Formats: sequence, structure tokens, C-alpha cells
Amino acid sequence: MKRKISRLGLSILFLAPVIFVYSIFIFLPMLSSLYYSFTEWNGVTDTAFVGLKNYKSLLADSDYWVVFFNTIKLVIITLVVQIPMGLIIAFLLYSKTRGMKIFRTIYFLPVVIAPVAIALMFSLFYNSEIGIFNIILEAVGLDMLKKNWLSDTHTLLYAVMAPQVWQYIGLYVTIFLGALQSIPEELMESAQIDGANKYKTFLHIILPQISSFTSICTVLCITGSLKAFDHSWIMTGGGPGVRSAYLGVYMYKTAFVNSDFGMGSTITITIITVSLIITGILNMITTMKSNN
Amino acid sequence: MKKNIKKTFALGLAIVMCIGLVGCGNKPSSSSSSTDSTKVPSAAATDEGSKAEKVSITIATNWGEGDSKYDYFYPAFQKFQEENADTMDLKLVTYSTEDYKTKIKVQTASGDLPDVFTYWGGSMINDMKDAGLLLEADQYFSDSKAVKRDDFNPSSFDYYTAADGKTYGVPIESTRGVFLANKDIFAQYGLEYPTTYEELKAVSKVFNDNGIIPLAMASSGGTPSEFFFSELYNQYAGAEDELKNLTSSREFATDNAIKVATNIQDMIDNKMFPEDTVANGGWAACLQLYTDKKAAMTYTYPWMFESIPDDIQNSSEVVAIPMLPDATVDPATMMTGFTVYGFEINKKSYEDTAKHDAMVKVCDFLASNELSTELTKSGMIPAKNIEVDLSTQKVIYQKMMAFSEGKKLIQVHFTTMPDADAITMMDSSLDELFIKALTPQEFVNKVQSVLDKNN
Amino acid sequence: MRRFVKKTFVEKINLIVKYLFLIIVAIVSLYPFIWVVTSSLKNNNEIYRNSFGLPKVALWDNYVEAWKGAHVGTSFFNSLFVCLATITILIIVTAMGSYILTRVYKNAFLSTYLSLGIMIPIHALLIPSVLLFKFLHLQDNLVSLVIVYVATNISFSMFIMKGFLEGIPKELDEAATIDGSNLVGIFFKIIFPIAKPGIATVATLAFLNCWNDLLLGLVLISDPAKKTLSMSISALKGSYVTQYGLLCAGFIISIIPVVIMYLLLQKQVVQGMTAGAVKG
Repeated sequence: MKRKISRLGLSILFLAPVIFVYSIFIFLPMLSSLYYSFTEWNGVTDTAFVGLKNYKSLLADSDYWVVFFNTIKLVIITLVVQIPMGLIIAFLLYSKTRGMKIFRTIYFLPVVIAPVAIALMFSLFYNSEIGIFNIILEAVGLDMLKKNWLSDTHTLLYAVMAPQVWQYIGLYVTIFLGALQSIPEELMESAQIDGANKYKTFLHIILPQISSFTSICTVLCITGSLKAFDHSWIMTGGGPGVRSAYLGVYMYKTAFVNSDFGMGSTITITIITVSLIITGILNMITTMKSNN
Repeated sequence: MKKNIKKTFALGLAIVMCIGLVGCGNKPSSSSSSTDSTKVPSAAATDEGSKAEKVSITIATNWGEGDSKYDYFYPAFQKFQEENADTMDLKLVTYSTEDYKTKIKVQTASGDLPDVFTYWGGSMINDMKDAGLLLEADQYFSDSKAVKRDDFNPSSFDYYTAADGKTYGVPIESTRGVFLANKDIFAQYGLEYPTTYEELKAVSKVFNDNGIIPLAMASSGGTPSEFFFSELYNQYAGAEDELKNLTSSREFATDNAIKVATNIQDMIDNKMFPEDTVANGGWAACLQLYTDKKAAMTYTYPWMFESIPDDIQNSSEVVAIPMLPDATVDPATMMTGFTVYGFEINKKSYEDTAKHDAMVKVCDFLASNELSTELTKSGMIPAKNIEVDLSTQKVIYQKMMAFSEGKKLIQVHFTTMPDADAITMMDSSLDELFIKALTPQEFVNKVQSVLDKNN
Repeated sequence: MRRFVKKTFVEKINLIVKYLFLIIVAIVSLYPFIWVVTSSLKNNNEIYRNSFGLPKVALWDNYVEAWKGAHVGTSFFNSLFVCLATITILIIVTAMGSYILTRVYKNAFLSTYLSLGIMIPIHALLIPSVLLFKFLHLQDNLVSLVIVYVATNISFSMFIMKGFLEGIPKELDEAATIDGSNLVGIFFKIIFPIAKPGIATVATLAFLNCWNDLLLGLVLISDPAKKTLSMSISALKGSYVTQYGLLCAGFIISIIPVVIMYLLLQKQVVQGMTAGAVKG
């Protein structure tokens, strides 16, 4: 009995700091965002409670839906590109590659470069007058593919997404590599002795072993996309109009540029809600799968 | 293994503590650590307590290390700081423009604005004014011996005058829109500067055939297109009054606005602008096309003069904008000219008796003829009535001043738009207009809808 | 026999394709870094005219100016202090927390509660944080930055750490319990050392987040003597024209410590791995 209590006591002691800091500095602001989302507030004068008015006008705002679907597109593209790419590269590095350390360091480099620099670089790459993309296309005789990447409504959003999607692949390589390295050697060896080929080993041994990391990366990917800000803001300011804006950009613009903190909070709440829904669905899928 | 981990952490902790100690050891020398944590709210109390202590004043600005004004502002500031070293503990905090706007917004929300800070006027100070954080400029003028309201161009106060008729802020910088043409490129193709829209079309055709962009004008975040739009807007009958009254009438969606937007799209159809108006948008990228001689003409503002190399300054002429086909006011008789920047005084600090005298002194410095004269070297046109010795100025500055002789100065939407979010909408929608994602009517409606919503 | 030969041939092709792929990815990953380095030696005219080539005349002055302009002397140590303090505290509290939540007292509610923070955009925290620290009289104090950085990194750190801890076999704890170790003993003797790759991952990412953070520093710190490196470098941007060469030089100055940090921690990860393998 005594032992049990001390166990409980220690558990509380171990959990207390993290819950304390988190509750005050993250959860409290979240709650205040929830409160502000029901008010009209310019960040300065007193708040005025307006009920669901912000939510109603947000849902009726056509710009919001453009931004919303831009964000969903970003979520899908990052999920489809970053996670498989990260996994494949990590797997290639893991399977007895010479110079693995060098490769790993190089792949991580883009992650540490400030998004401002990356965004500036890509703006120059996309430029119609001096951009390298059009020069390359011309050089290989694909003139018809030349585009005004940032001024063409068809390519604009994807042109803004590309640097962001690409920049953070290295992050997933690092996480997956750590995950792969945590798989016990014997498991891999026994699989090889059994004569399973690489693809089978990958599918049936490795993937299940690192499934918890795949879901970590998936959540990081989704929440990262839903909050995405830097690249879009620096390259185009989310524009023209809101054509390359994501929810994070729209929230910033509403709250900080237009001083509408009530509406900004409403957008924040929708970001959190969408995050919760998507990760909830994913959790359901994975538990269903594991139950089967 | 165990030891290893412990060692690493012990090392980490040791480093942290060392740095912490060094940091703490350093801090008291610059300011006492008790005022450290609660600088803004309690500084007053501490200062009052000990009379001998120096008054601590914080000046915030976006004229930071990377800015074209920095080289002229900072030496003047340093001199002022030294002169007052025994009475004032002066702190200069600099931010980049984007960071600065965020910082000031947050400080407005928490009520901790800097003592004195440079800022825009118009709709951008509405919130601070509403919160009662800003001092009326006239109160400062009545206290100051060195600076009077009459020292300024009377119209320069318009930008800092709120709907209640009171002036919140002291103007520093005025500006003019200049339309530049590279005379060498025009001469090379035997062309004259266009004065009508038909002529503009004709020269554009020649330039395009020779791989030269006729006019470096683009739109990213509404720069520089927003001012270009206003400049063109003034060519129409009644436009001048419409612009002047925009703050009270809240009427952006005028027939004239649609005419201008339609003409801009016609310019795009005639390939007068660079193809990619987003990537080439923004003040710097747009001007770069002109200074790299990839474009024959451009429309820019004096704050960009630092970026124009000498040879381009020499081969540039300031000319009148060609007259649009359905326009009625001759553009050769006018140019945009307005106050665009100045400084704000924190009411709470100013009314703090301990700080008051020092505050007046700092304001006197920011509003001094000497500082304004220094800043003209970066291309700034002073809001104060001071004689600028043109011979010390850049060639392009001299040309601009010569051109503006006798010209009527006209307003822009940027300074008269009543709401900040309407300007944001105008900027982002102009970007869309330039890539032809919006029709002129849609563009005008979008901006108007923001004004209507706020009303 | 034939099959054997064929297989090695296929394997060789596979190997070549693999390395070719890895090298292409490496070039694509390395290029932006090279671009930032070459741009840091150019002026704006050259960045626009000759964006992809080497600088004609290397402007080392950019580094001198960036160093002076960004007050690297002070801001570098401010950043280093804040970041090291943050990751040290962060790792201890999240390792303890995730240890309890994965191995001692599994609680779905608490886990979900703590993971909510991943979803909140940082901009939503700016004003509440400023008001909160004003209330706590911690304005303009580097301690406030440490606290807020720890807080903003908790969610994802717990997330990753829990993933690692879940992978550690339960039997280890049980064996230790039989040996007579209590919770604290198990945590420090067994879990902490084995979770090294997880800790290194969290440390790297958290360090990166703190080091690169601009906004929280911007709103919480006003005193120039307490500015962090990323704030000082961001101040190098001009209001109408930015000297990109200067800015890129600033970026390089700020990237170097991160790369060093990464290289050091990478070694730790590998060490932890091999040690684990030997033990296993």
C-alpha cells in the first residue's frame, strides 16, 4: 500500500512540471482564444461579446474558403510527398550506405536555413525575367512549359508550396532514421535469414515496427501545414488576393494586419478544430487497421 | 553509458549556468536589475524615487541597420545621445518594418508603447488613438521652444489628424511620386517620351520588339501598384475631391476607380509591364528592372533613390505620366505628394513629470531641422519647411525637385483610406487585378465591401 | 548459377540507382545553402543580375557589417543561453512526463490534452503571452523567453518522446523493479539512457525552433541588450529595400551554431544506438 502511494506521488511529481507549464502558457492562451472568438476585439479597446457572429461571417466569407482549401491541399501534398520521401530516403540511408553520415547531414541542411532565405531564393528562381526555371526549360527545349510561376493562377499556389514541402523533407528523414535505428538488429537479421527480399522486409517488418513514428510524422505534417505561415507570407504575402494564403497566414493577416483579433481568434479555433478532426480520423483509421 | 549521459547534462547545465552568470553579471552595469523586469510600468516610480538617476527614454524606429535612412539617422542620434549622456539614458530600438508593425500592435494591446517612436499615420494609428495612448501633437508644440506647428507644411498634418480633428503625431517625411524614363534607351531607339496613351502604346511596341520591358510596374502586396493606381486616378475629373473626402465618404467604388482599373488591364494586355507582376513586385524588385536597364521607364518614390546607381541617375529623366485616353486632367500639371511618415509620442511617458523634460528634448531632436536635413540625403523630402541645399543632394533628387516646381500636389488612397483593412484589401486585390484574376468591377467591389462592412 | 549472376547484376544496378538518387537529393539539398553562401558575398545588383553564379568580387564586408549590425556579440550569447536553458529544462520535464504517461500511468485524456498544443498557431499566443508575462512582471526578461519556449515545445516533444519510450520493452522496467529500483531509479538508470535517440531528436528540433524563433522574442523582448540573434538579424531588413547580401551573411552567422549542434547530437544518436545494440 505504502509503495503504491509513493508510486502515485512520484507520478504526480514527474508529471507536474510539464502539465503546469503547458496549462498556463499554452492551454490558457488557447482558452482565451476561444473566448475572444466570441467577441469583437481590436486588441486595444474593450471586448464586446457577439456570440457566434464571427463564426457566421467567417463561414460566409468566400476568401476563408479559398484559404481553407489551399490549406487542405497543402496538408494532402505534404502528406503525400514529405512522409514517403522522408521514409524512402531514410531507408536508403539506413541500409548500409557508404557516407551515410554525410548524406544525413546534407539532407538536414535545408531545414536549418531560414525560410526568408529559401523564399527569396525561390522568388528569384520563379522570376519571369531572370528565373532559372524558365531558363532551364528553354535550354531543354520545353519552351511551352515556361510559366510566370507566381503570376499564373494555375501554378501560383503550387509554386508557393514547393519550397516549403521540399525544405522540410530532411526533418522527416531524421526522424525516420532515428526510428529505423531503434529497430532491434536481430529482427532485421532474422528476416534476411528467412529469405525475405528487401521490399517484403520493408513492408512487413519495418513499417509495422515504426508505425508509431509514421503517426508522429503524420501529425507533425498535418499540424505543420495547418499552421503554415513563413513561405507564403514572405513570397507573396498570401496573395494575390488570398490565392496563396493558408489558414495561418489568414489568421495573422486578420489579427495583426487588420487588427481584428476577435476574428483572428475565430480562425485560430477553426485551425485547432480542423487539426483535431483530421488527426482524429487518422487515429480511427489506424486503430481500425490494427484491430483488423 | 550512464556516466556519459550524466556528463552531457552536467556539461549542458554548467554551460547554461555560466552564461546565465555572465549575463546577470553584465546586466546591472547597464541598468539596475530591479527595474529590469518591469521596465515600462515601474520605471516612472523608480525614477521619481531617486532624483539623481538619469531618465530612461526608449526610442523605437524601423530605420534600422539595413535601412537606407540608418546611415544618416544613426550618427545624428549618437551625437544627441552623447550630448545628453549625463541626464538621459537613451535607448534606440530598431526593427525591420514588418517586425515593427507587429511589435507596435502587441505593445498597443498591452499598453506598453515606447516613449517615442516613428510611425505611419492615417488609419494605422486609429487603434492607439482610440486607446488613448498617443499625445496630441499640439500639446508638444506648446511645450517646445524649438519646434512650432508653423514650422511645418500645414497639409502635412492631414495624415496625422484623426476624425476628431486633433493631430496625433509629428510629420517628418513627405514624398513625391516620380515617373522615370531612361533617356539613353529612348535615344537608342529614336523615341520620344510618351505624353498620351497612344504614344505610350507605340513606344511600348518598339520596346517589346527589342526585348525591353516598357514600364517597370508590378504588384506584390500592392507595391508599387497602389501608388501608381492613385497617381492615375487623379487624371480624372472630380478624382481629387473624391480622394480628399474618402475618409468621410467611404466611397472607393467610383466610376473613376473602374476607369483606372480598366486602363491598367489594358496596359497589361499591351504588355507594358513585366510578365510576372508578382515576382517583380515590391519596391526593390520593380526598380531593379529599371536600374538593370531591362526596363525603359518606371514609377517610383524618393525612398528608393539610395538604390539607383549614379549612371542610372544621370541617364534618368523625371517626366509626366502619359495621359490616359478618357482622362480630363493633364498629368503634366500635377504629381502625388503627401506626408508618409513621422513620429508618435507616448502620452503616458510625456505626462510623467520625471520624464517630461527629457521627452520634449527627444521630440525636439526628432523634429529638428538638422535631422530632417540629414535625412534628405537618403532621398527624403522633409515635412518641415526647410531650405534644402540641392547641391548636396543626389542628381535624381535634384531632377525631381526641378520637375515638381509649380506642380500641384495630389493625394493618394494610402493616406486617405479610413480603415487599415481596406488598404490591405486594396493591396492584395491590386495584385489580383495585375494578374488578371479579377475584373475591374470585381476589384473595386472587393475594396468597397470592406469599407461597407466596417461602417 | 545463371540466377546468381543475374542477381548481382540487378543488385549492382540497384546500387547505382540508389547512389545516384541519394546524390541528386544531396545536390538539391545542398544547393540552397551554397546559394545563401554565395549571395552573402554579393550586393543586391549582383544578386538580381547574377543570382546563380559565384560573386565576381567577394564582398566580405557583408559579414563585417552583419556582425556589427546584428550585434552578434551580445545577441549570440542571449540566444545561446535561452536555447540551452530551454532544451535542458524541456528534455528533463518532457522525459519525466512521457515516462509516466507511457509506462506508469497511461492516461489517454492527459496525452490528448498535452498534444493539443501542437495545433495552435504561434501567432495566437503572442498577445496572451505578453499580457501573461506583464502580469508576472517578467517583461523584457530572458527568463520569460525560456519559459515560453519550453511551453511551446512541450507538445511535440512529448509526442516524439512517447513514441521512443513506447518502443522500449516493458520487461526492462520489470527486471529493474525486481532488482529493487524505484520509479526514480528506473527512470534515470534505464529509461533515460535508452531514450537517447529520442532525446537527441527532441533536442535538435527544439533547439532549431528556439534558435529560429523570431516572433515570440520580438514581442517579449524590447531591450536591445537582450535581443536574440534571429531578432537582430531580422532587423537587418530595410523598410523599402533589403540588402540581401547582408541578410544572407547574417543567416550564415546564425546557421553555423545550429549545424554544429546538429553534428554533435548526431554523434550522440549514433553512440546511443551502437551502445544499445551491444547491450541488446
